[in-house]
Amino acid sequence: MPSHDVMPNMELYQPIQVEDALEIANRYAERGWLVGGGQDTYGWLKDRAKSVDALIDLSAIEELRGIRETTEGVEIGALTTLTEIVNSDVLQSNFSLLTDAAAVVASPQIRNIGTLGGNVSQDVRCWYYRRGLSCYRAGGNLCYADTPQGMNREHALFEGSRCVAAGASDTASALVALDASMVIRNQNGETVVSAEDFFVGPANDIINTTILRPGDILTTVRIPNTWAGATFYWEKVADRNVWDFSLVNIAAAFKTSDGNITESRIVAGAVQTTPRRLTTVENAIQGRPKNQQTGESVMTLATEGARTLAHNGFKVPLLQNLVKRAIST
Amino acid sequence: MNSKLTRRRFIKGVIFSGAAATSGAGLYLAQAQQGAGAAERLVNLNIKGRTRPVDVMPSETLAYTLRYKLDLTGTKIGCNRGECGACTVLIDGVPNYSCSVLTHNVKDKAVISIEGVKATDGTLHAVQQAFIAENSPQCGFCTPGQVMSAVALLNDNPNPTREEVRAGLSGNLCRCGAYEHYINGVLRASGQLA
Amino acid sequence: MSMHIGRDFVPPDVPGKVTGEIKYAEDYKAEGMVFARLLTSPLPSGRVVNIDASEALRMDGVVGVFTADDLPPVAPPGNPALASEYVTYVGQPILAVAATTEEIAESAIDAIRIDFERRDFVTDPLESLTPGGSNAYPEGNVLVRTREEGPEGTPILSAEIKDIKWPQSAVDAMRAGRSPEGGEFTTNWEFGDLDAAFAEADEVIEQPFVTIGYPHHSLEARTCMAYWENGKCYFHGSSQSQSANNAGLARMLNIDLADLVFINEATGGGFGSKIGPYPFMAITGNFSRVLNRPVQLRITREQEFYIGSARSGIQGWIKIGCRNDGKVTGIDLAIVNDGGATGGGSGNSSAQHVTVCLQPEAMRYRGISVYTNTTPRGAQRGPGQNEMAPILAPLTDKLAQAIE
Ligand SMILES: Cc1cc2nc3c(=O)[nH]c(=O)nc-3n(C[C@H](O)[C@H](O)[C@H](O)COP(=O)(O)OP(=O)(O)OC[C@H]3O[C@@H](n4cnc5c(N)ncnc54)[C@H](O)[C@@H]3O)c2cc1C
Ligand code: SF4
Ligand code: FES
Ligand code: FES
Repeated sequence: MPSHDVMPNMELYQPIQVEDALEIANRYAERGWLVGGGQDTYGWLKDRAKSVDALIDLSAIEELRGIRETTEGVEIGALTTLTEIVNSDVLQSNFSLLTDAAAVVASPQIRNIGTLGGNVSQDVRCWYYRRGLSCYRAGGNLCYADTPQGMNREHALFEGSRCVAAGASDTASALVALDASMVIRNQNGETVVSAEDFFVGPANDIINTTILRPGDILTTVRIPNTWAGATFYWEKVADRNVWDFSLVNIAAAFKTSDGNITESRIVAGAVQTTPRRLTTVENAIQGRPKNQQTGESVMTLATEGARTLAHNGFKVPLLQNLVKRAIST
Repeated sequence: MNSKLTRRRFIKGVIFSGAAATSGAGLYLAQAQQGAGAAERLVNLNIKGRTRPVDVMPSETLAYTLRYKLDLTGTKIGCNRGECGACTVLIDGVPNYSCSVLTHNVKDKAVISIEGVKATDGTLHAVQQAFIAENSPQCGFCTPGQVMSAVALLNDNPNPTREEVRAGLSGNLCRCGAYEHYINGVLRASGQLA
Repeated sequence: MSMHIGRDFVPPDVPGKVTGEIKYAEDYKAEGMVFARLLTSPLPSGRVVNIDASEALRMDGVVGVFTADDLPPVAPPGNPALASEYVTYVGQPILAVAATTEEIAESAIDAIRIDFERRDFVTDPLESLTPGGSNAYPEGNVLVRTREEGPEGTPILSAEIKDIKWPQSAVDAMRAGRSPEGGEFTTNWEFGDLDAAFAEADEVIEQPFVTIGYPHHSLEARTCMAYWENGKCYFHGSSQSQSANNAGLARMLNIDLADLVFINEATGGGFGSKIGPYPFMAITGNFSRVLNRPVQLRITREQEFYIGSARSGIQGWIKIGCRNDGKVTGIDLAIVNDGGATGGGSGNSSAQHVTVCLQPEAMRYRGISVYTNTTPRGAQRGPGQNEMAPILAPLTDKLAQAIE
């Protein structure tokens, strides 16, 4: 198997205006590759598992960076780095769910350059697919992971549809829990979609993990004030504290009145290709006290409908326990 | 029948010459950049305070430029994919994996690699002195990266706790397992360990 | 005796390591140096039928392609630096391409077409020992060391690959955690009266065990750089020793030891995997000779996983008897090593570790190391001892509880 670690030669564009970036992205279409911090991109290109004609580096576009407070909430430019997010006072004080999630992505060096836009748009981390094998997601006609001998410990419990890859982004679960919306631009204009609709699973689209299409640029992530200052719970379980992706993560937001839950969002990551909102759990705890007893009584609801693979059965109790902890703490 | 294969000798008859090849910057595929917004190949790089022009391929990483074009081989390549930290350098003071940054991204920035850490008069940085005193390196392959992360950490936080040092150096893998010695070194450099 | 004992001193390599000035193999350059990359096997087992490098050779900047035909032959069952005909593991080097940049060399790799014939492969040693089970090599599945009487009684030590199969009952017994009676082993030794030792024991436990074969993965992947001047080969290779390599490397280059200049300031870890000359060194040195220019061959992290060797895994069975006073009377130990593509295993040192730790009055050891179509295996930090330590600890606890 050819093993590579040097990127092939290709064009590089470093526009400083969104308009230019949109024009170049449109011109190259699927032969162009947007780059935020490049931390997901370069692996693909070095492995030569994917190839393109041009890199479109967005990092010099100033208007895509930075964190701004608005009357409705906070707007985060898609090119803002994860470190900038972690260090943001406004995010820390109102939306610590997002800063907690961003703080445990990859490693300090990767967070220093990796962007929020790149984090939510990154591809799945199924090693068969990453190694350049021609599986369903790569346009082929089989799945290597969903087999009795397949290495599928990291893979999905839910919503598998030929592909059983789990989502890799840590910030994705937090953004769904915060009811964030994503601002997407292309040459025809701007669209805004909810974070929940931004991510797509293999039943709807087996090739892409988001609704972004060639020519689209994610410009901004908006977090509404809806959950500002709510009670949050974030936990990521991974093999190592650094570099490793979530085996399961949980992002939860609660509003309470007299100790009773009046409204909640509970979202699990790495259990399917998209962040999974656990609405049955949310409904079951409505109006009940936020304590361990409630957590224990609903935890099994979190995994109803799970389909385990040969090696990922541990994710069932893991997810249940994370849900319990989120509600109990 | 496993008949002996035909000889497979593929050495090109003509051995081309050219000094450019020594630098690794020799022949390129004929893929010049065209069009507006395309990056110029000749870039001015500010490496350890000195600016010099370098011919940089579009998809070239900073680690490659440092090691093969500028002969700054103190920056190591352990994995070439953001998973070890041996290639850590400071870009505008911030630690980054130079194997996972395009050289074209640092055009307007100041890059400091391990060669730029000691003072101009040759005095070693406090971190380097402390790593010697603590005998921190084992094989030493991760050491330049550990030094860079430690320098950045102490610039931000001159008196880190042990836990903060651990977090600050957490993006630098040491296969020899000399972690505690590096952490002691950083604490010593910050004056917290005599 | 020493100026160092009892005094604080700075080891001479440490300052260069904290300044980055000390040189590792890949830090050396020479005028006209070209960059080589490897093309490795996509198959665990197969035969190379044809190599078409014509397109790669037409590429600007490509200097040459180097195959097993350019290497001095290695006597079987040696592990050649480049697969000549059979590939026996995924990641096995088949050829190297040199070019003026790494990027061109890698693009050239993609332009080379190889036709393979697939062969059955095996990854589990017990499966290979099963009647009808596949062999990792065409010649067989077990490396057997031979010893013949040579002139004036000097022993001629050699090795050959044999095809060994066990009766199904022995394989079944091993899988079920019982003694693999009837299975053929290649290392057998025994001391004391084992039956008497077990008869004398107050407690006897039997336990199957499995350990995995994990890679060394030094942080520095094994890079080499070589060039020739006045008939001498100047060689910079990632190595654990300044001297242990030299004789073997000179043989791989087919030169006198006096014509090899081996220079290596520092090495980014070895853990046993760079202790002697590794086959891969032959590529850089010989490639540089045929090109008549300096060649640097750096491998990827993934390739270091494939060719950088790994500890051999164990499937074993042990029976231990002890008296109420804690004295271990007898031990019966059987080990099947996964020898990967190189065939060796650490079973015998595992057994020796058991004798040292538990000091039985009688013991029998049966060992066999089986080739599989997996990565080459080699010594790793305490070969044998480190495998057995985590196995013996819980067993001694178990025995101690039983006699309490
Ligand atoms: C060793 C390692 C460990 C990692 N661990 C984690 C982890 O624990 N958790 C985690 O969440 N991630 C992890 N990552 C994944 C990822 O690299 C980082 O999370 C990072 O945030 C990605 O951001 P980036 O800007 O570098 O992405 P890029 O590589 O620049 O982009 C990623 C993808 O998004 C697209 N894209 C980028 N920006 C935009 C935009 N504005 N509009 C449209 N499309 C865009 C790109 O075209 C590309 O397809 C890890 C990566 C590595 C190499
Ligand atoms: S899980 Fe998805 S990405 Fe992985 S092999 Fe199967 S189809 Fe491909
Ligand atoms: S070489 Fe860059 S992180 Fe390992
Ligand atoms: S000292 Fe060897 S890898 Fe850190």
